[in-house]
Amino acid sequence: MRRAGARLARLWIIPVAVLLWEAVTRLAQGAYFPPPSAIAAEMYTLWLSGPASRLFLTDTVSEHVWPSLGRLLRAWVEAGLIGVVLGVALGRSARLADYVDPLVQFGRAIPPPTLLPLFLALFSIGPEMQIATIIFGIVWPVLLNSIEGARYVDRLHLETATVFRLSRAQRLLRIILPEAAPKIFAGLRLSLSLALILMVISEMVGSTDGIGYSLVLALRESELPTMWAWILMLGILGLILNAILIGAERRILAWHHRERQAT
Amino acid sequence: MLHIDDLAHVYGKGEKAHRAIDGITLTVAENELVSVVGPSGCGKSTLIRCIAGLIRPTRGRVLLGGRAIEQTPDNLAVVFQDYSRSLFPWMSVAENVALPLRRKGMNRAARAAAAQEALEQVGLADAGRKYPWELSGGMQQRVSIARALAYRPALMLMDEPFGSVDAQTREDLEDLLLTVRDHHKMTIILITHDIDESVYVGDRVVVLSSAPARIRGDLPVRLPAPRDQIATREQPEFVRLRAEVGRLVRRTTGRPADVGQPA
Repeated sequence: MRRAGARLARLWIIPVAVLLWEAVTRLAQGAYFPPPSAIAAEMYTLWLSGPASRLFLTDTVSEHVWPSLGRLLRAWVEAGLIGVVLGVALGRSARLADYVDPLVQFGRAIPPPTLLPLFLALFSIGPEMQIATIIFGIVWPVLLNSIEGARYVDRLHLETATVFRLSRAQRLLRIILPEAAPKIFAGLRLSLSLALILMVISEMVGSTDGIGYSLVLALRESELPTMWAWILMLGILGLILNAILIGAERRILAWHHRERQAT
Repeated sequence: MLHIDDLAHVYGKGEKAHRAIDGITLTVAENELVSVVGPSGCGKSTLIRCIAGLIRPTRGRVLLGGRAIEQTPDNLAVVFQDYSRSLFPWMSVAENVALPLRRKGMNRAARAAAAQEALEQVGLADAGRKYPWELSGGMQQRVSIARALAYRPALMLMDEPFGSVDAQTREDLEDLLLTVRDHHKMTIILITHDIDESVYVGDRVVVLSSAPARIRGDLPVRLPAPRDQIATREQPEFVRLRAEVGRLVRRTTGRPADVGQPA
């Protein structure tokens, strides 16, 4: 409780930073740096000036924000499933994991945006190409952490499972997955932040809607406040997504955090 | 009930080979509680692992009820020394106890009832909803005894079960073992390096030599039941047996055994 209070107390830095930003941009009068008040006004007209029946959300939100978010989440879920299923299978077979490891390291080393041209050619412009790009870029942390988590399951846990003759399904679902879960979640968090980056990049190159597309369009039409509004939107989205995931992790892995405090 | 026939196990090959046990032959009668005592690192755990079907012996065989043990039989339970690694921290105490019972074809309600009954027998009637790491070491070991009891094994193997708890808790757990043993018909093999404990709980004490472990002595314990931590330990027969076991252990190690002062 005291720690939460101290965290709240430190939030004074935010209004101070905004005020400073406002003062500097007004003094400098640079064309590329509109003051935050102008950006805030633009954010309002851009997204929140819609009809009351739609919670004041504008068409821009439904045309650009929701599709982006949809692709992001779909790619993240699919990459998560692929990573966990493959990773646990590899992690439980030490020999297989040793063989595949160089391939995984190589795949991970390829900067995902460099594959955009390939995916563009394969899928043409559209959601498939964006989702493929995101999945390829973000599957690695989940895969590596799942391999790691499934590989180093406590030997005594497995022997206990053998002695009490747990079924294969019980062994997997009640022992291996829970024990690997803290590592898997760490991978999922890393993947989510990577997914946001790749979502924007893929939309900048090959899309006719979405946040990345809107950002590039605003720059092309020299709508600087609009461009800044989209940049801030990405920051806010990143914060919200991360907070949701941390909340879910706290719930699912409550035993893990409390066990570490207890011992 | 249990017949061990010329059992030997060697870890590794060639020059690095380590002979853990060598030519152990032992017969254990139904409902007998046999203490197996020997110096640290003598191969006691290897013996337990061979009986439990966790490792395949290099030579010899183990017959349970006339049938050779190939893999862990379903009427056998093990209580490990390291309770904190044998219990699953992501499950409540009741879930830990009930987990192996699904294989026994019990439905959810029957499993919960059996778990609760076993927890009551070890004096943890109210701990079912807690997590293992919220309990003290002695209580955690009670949980793993409850898990073994709920499983209703014909043979219970205990690998230095009270080796990691303080002296007072140790006496409590020894008496708990003797009490539950009166309620359940089962054969128990208890591995320990504590000479006093081996005499106090056993119907019979088997003394092993240092590695490779061979049987050095096999002494019947003719102490009246019920046993009492004070009264039993002051009986001449107890003192005589403890000295005899102590001499046998000392002879195997060439070091003075801890006769007279419980380890």
